[in-house]
Parts: sequence; structure tokens; C-alpha cells
Amino acid sequence: MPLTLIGHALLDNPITVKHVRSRLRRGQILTPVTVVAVLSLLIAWWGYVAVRYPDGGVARIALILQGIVLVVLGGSQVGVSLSGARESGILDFHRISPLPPAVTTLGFFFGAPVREYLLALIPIPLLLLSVAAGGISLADFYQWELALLLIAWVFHVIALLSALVSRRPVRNGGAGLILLGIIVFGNIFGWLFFRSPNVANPDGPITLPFFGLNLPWLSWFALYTLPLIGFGLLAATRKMQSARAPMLSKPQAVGFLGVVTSLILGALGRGIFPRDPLFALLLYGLGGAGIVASLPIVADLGQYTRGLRRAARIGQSRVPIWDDLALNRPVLFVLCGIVLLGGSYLFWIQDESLRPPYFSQAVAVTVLTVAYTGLAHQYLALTTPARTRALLSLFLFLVWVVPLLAGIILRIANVEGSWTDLFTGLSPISGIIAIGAGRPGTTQASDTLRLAALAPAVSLPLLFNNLISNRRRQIEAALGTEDRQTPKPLDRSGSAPGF
Amino acid sequence: MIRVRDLRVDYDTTCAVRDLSLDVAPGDVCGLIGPNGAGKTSTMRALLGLVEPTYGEIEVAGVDMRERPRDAARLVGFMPDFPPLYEDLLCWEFLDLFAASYDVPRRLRRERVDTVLDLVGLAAKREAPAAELSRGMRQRLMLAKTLLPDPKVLVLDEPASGVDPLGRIDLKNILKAQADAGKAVLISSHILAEMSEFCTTMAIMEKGRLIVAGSIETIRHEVMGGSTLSVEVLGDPALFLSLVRDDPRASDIQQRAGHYVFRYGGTPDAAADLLARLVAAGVRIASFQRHKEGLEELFLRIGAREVS
Repeated sequence: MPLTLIGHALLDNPITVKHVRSRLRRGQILTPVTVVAVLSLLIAWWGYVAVRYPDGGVARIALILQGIVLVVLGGSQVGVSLSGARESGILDFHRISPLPPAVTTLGFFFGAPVREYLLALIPIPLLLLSVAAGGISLADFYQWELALLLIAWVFHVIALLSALVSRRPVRNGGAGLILLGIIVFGNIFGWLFFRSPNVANPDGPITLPFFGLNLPWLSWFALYTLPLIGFGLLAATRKMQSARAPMLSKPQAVGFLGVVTSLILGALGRGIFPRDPLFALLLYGLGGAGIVASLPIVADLGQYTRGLRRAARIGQSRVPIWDDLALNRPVLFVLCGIVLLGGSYLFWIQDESLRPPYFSQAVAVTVLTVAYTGLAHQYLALTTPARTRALLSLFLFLVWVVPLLAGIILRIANVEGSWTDLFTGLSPISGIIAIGAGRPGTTQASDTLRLAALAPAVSLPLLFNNLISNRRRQIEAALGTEDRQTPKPLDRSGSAPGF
Repeated sequence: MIRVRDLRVDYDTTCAVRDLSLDVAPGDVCGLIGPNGAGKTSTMRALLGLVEPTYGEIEVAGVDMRERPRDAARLVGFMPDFPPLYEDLLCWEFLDLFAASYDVPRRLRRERVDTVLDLVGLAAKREAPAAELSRGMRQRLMLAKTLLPDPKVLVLDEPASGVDPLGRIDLKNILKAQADAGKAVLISSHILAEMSEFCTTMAIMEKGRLIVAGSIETIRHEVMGGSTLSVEVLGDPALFLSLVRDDPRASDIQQRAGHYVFRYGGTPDAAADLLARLVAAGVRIASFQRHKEGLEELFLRIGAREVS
């Protein structure tokens, strides 16, 4: 990154300066500063009366207050600020200014919650008092603060992306985001407060595994959050540059899945969740990551036809496969390959005597589920671009949820046998774990269940691949017809023929 | 200064701009006109880099928009019809934000902000919150923001909407001064009478295509085929009619309220020659007038009847 960009991004970022000016006016900060200061004083008084400094009680409550301010209110502010700029149209002025989109993105990322950063400083004296009273160590203090900052950044980047891609403007930060913030923040810090024991050394510092290494918990936490923040900012920068651009380019989507897969697999080792179906659950993680990575690589009808026209202009018959405007099939194949590699790794590291007998089939179903989801998405985007999301949701509901519910109903009704197995296997939600869990010697998935799981996993990718091929030929034929037409000045239809 | 070649812009399955080529020279004020949905805004958005064209070349002051978008952005000032502002900033803060965005050196920013505020008549509102400005004042502040980086090209979308008559005069004078300073100006507007005051050249679009472009006089000649002559003849008109009908440039001769009105395809010189011939032949002429059609008539003649 050039030095000027770093200077622009962090030291003299016009967007950050704008937020500092507008959000730190006396009228803007007086009330929230008063509220947080009074709450901090109340916590300080409670700690004094209840003698909760020495046991760290005050520090934890102060940290929760900081978390609410920084994670929940800060995230909300990022969303509201960017959404407002987008809705009013002023974001377009930033897009056409010489300011690099990365600088604009960082300006909103660091600038919008500037008041919340200030408010989060207010409870810090309580934490320092707790350190002085021996309630927490100085190391705990700075580690908690850094972890809090990382969590806040994860939520700020989610808010940033939501504001850039949502069809409706984000108002009040979005109740869902706030709820998610409370849950995640509460869980992570709940875990920290209760200090998950270090199995090897219960009295030592908390360490967590990454491909066999035991990392200090903060380093581990940073290792897992910073890539997410990085990819989030990358996606936000692309959307900041152009509203019509997909969140990630095709190579970036592959990189994203590679990183997420490494993180998922890297967590294995000493075992955070040392339970029986762990490996099947990780398959869900891999499959889910694959599906998420496949979302931005789909080109809809308009994009694909644009790509074809652009390619034809320079004498090519195909859109380059890594282009944003290309169909997703080749890159989806690469994504499925990464999921397959991840699944194979899970197969390989399991002790043979403990490995579920049909684990490899669960891996195959996972990979093929990613494949048909991506292909269905691509087909719908080529046929009904305006309703792709709704129809894809409907398709997944019918293929994933309906068989799952049918299987559950049959199990509740105590209907044992083929029908129950059939429905359980049809849905990948239940099918993958039904096939991929279970130690040797225990009851295994029946043949019916395994066949039922394979049926959609094998047939749907073939079906959608064929449908995409047919649709592509239709589109190319329609474009060829249009190109052969003689121009009729003053009397041309605005629409491309054949659609 | 602005050079567009074979520009095509597609939205989903709709072609908004189709194979458009356009030039706006330094010092020209080019009016981009057309009915709603003609592709004016899409052309402007492509020119600004807000929409990636399907294909085509766009150059601003010799800088390729696709290859060096940031450099090109530095050279273009844009003003939309409805000015979005940061309501929570003061007027000078709003301009300072964009001065910083356009790399105006910090030591020059204050002076530059004050200069443009003065230029658009908003010096008294320097410390006022943007939220308190009237529609016309917001438009003026937006014009100040547009002029702030001293761009070589101005792209204005309905710049006079919401501006009071005095503001329109100011706007006209500012634009003329900018054009005189060698800047290329591209304006889109529905108020055609106003466009004829601003513009030196025109580009008329319909259904995504550029129908005609050039100086207003050239377009008038190409589209209207010359002008309308109105002649008041005293005495017997037979000789007059005979001479006029013999002239191949005259057509559609009608008599209206004692005047003979007809289309005349020639240049002003040819019309003067006709008058000289009539007088030399002894036709008694009480009045001889040459009418030039306004932009509305031109526009309607071209076929774009949906104009508001």
C-alpha cells in the first residue's frame, strides 16, 4: 500500500474528519457522555459497597458496558451513517472523487463510531482500579480491551457490508445486528470470564490450538477475526467502488474459502468440542463456507450478456472465467475442490478405529450440496434475475427444510423404518450428520438413508448444469440474432431481443 | 475535452445507451437533451465512472476513464439535479470535506472554500448548517462543491432546477465564465428555452441513441432544413409566387393573415439573395422576416414528443 494511501486512510482521511466534526459537537456528545459517566460512577459505587474490585466483578461489568457501547451502538452507527450516505446519493460523490475506495471505506469504518470510541474510554478507570486492587492482571486488562476491539470491528464490518448491500436502508442499526452483537459478545466474554480451562496446565495461560500449535488465546482470537475483518473490508471496498460490483471477485472468493477452510480445520487438535459428531459438524462448517463463498461469483442475466458483448467487442467468444461477468461454473468447481480437500483432511486425521464408516459419503454429499446450490443459484440468476433470491430460498426450503421437517414429524410419530430414513437422508441438514457421525460398532445409517442422501446430491448438480448449458445457448443465440439485425435509427427497441 | 466513442451501457436486459459517440470541445457548453428514459443520465453516470459501460471509450481531457479512473475523476466536477448534502455539517465543513477528497493542499483549503462560496453567493452562509439551507441555496452549495477542485470538465444534471430567477442568471453567468475559461460543460435539462441560453452545442438522445449532435445552427439546418420566411407582399402576388416557386429551396408556401409563409432551405445568404431578386423583379415587399425555430420545435421535429 503506498504511503500516501496509508496517510489518507488513517491520518488525514476526509471521511473520518467529517465524522469527527459532525459527531463530536458538544450537543452530540453531552447526553451520551453523561449517561455513560453516570453508569460508570454507579458501577464504581457498587464495586466499593459490595467489595467487588478485588474479585474482578467491577472489571467485568465495566467491560460489558464498553461492549454495549462499542459493539452494539458503534455497529449501529456505522450502519446508519453509511446507509444514510447511500440513500441520499452522497456516496456517489465519494465514488466519483479521486479518494480511493479503500480510504472511503476506512473513513466510514473508523469514523462513524468515533463517538462510541470516546464513550468506551470512560469506563477504563474502573478497569485500572480493578488492576490496582488485584481483581484482574494488567495482561488481562489489555487482552480484554484488544479482544473487545476485535469483536467490535467484526460487527462494524458486518454493519458496513449490510449498509452497502441491503435493498432497504439500515435504520437504527438493525435490530438483528444488535441482537447478534449481544449474543456473540456475551458468549465470547462469558467464555473468557469463566476461563475455559487449559487442559494441559489448568493454572497456566489460556491457549488454543491451531494445526497443532498452542497459541495464546488472544493471538488465536486475532488469527480468526482479522481475516474475517480483512475480507469484510475488501468486500466493502469493492461495493464502495461500484454499487454494481459483486462483493468479492472470483479469485477473492476462492481465497476467502481457502482461508476459512484453513481456520476451520486449524481449530482441530486438542479439541474445542471434544464430542462424537465433531467431524460431521465441521463438514457443515466447510459446506456452509463453500456456499457463502459461492454467492458473490454468480453472474446474472444482465451481467452475463454484458460480459458476452464486451468479449465479442474484443473478438472473444467467451467471457474469461475469472471475470466478474462470467458464469460461476469453473470457479464453483474450484470451490467444491477446496471443500473436498477440507473434507478429505477431516477423513484423514481421524483415527481409523474411531472414524464413522460412511464418513467419506458424508463428505461427498457436502461437496455436491455446495455444487447444486451454486448451480441452482446460477441458473435462477440467468432466468429470473429479479427474483433470484426469493426463488433460491424457495428451492432450498423445498430441498433442505421440507424433507427435514417430514423426517422429524415421522420420528415424533414414532414411525420407524424406510420412510423416516428416506426423508432424513433427502435433506442435507439431517443427512450429512446421519451419515457422517457414529463410531464403528454403533448403529449406522441405513442403506435407504444413504441412498436418499445421494439421490439429490448426484441428480441436482447434473440437472442444473444441463439447464445452465441450455440457457447459455439461448442467450448466445439471442445475442447473435441481435448483432445480425440492421440498425434502424430512431426506431430501436431498448431491450435486448430474446428476453 | 470530453471524448466518447461507441459507448454502450446496459442495465440487466435493458440497453440504456447504445453505441454513442460524442465530443465536447474546450469552451463548449453542450446541452444533452432527450425525453425521459433517453439515456442522458446513464451517459452522464458512465462519464463520471459511476456506471461501468458494457464497452466504449471515454476520455476526459485526454485521460482514459477506464485506465485511470482516479486521474479522470480529478478533472470532472459533477452537479446533480437534487443535491445531496451531509445535513450534519456546516457549509464550510462540507466544502472542506470535498477539498480534502480532491487533494486540495491543506494550507489552500480555507482560501479555496471561501473563494467558491463567494462565487456562488453563499459567503454569508459559511458557518450555517447545511440542513438549514433552502433548495436554491443547496443547489448553490452543490455548485460550489462542483467548482471547488477547479475541474476541466463540468457535468451538470438539471442544474437550474429549484433555483430562483436570480440564481439562474448567476448560474448562467458562472457557466459562461467557466466555458470562457476553456472548460468543457455538459448539461442535461428539460427546460429547453433555458438550454438555448446556456448552450453552444447540443446532443439529442432518444431510446439510448444519439440522434444528432453539433452546434445549434448546424442541427437547425440539418433537422429543420433551413428556416421559415414570412413575406408581406403589396399588390398582385403572382410575380412573387412565380419567383418563389421557381426557387428549389422554397417549399410549403402558405398564406397566413396577409403574409406568405414558406420553408426555405437555404442559408441566410441565400435568403438575402432571394429578397434581392424579388426587389429587382419589381415585387413590392412591405416586410421580409426569417424565423429560426427554437429548441422545442427542433426537439419535436426530431421526434421526441415525450419531453416534459
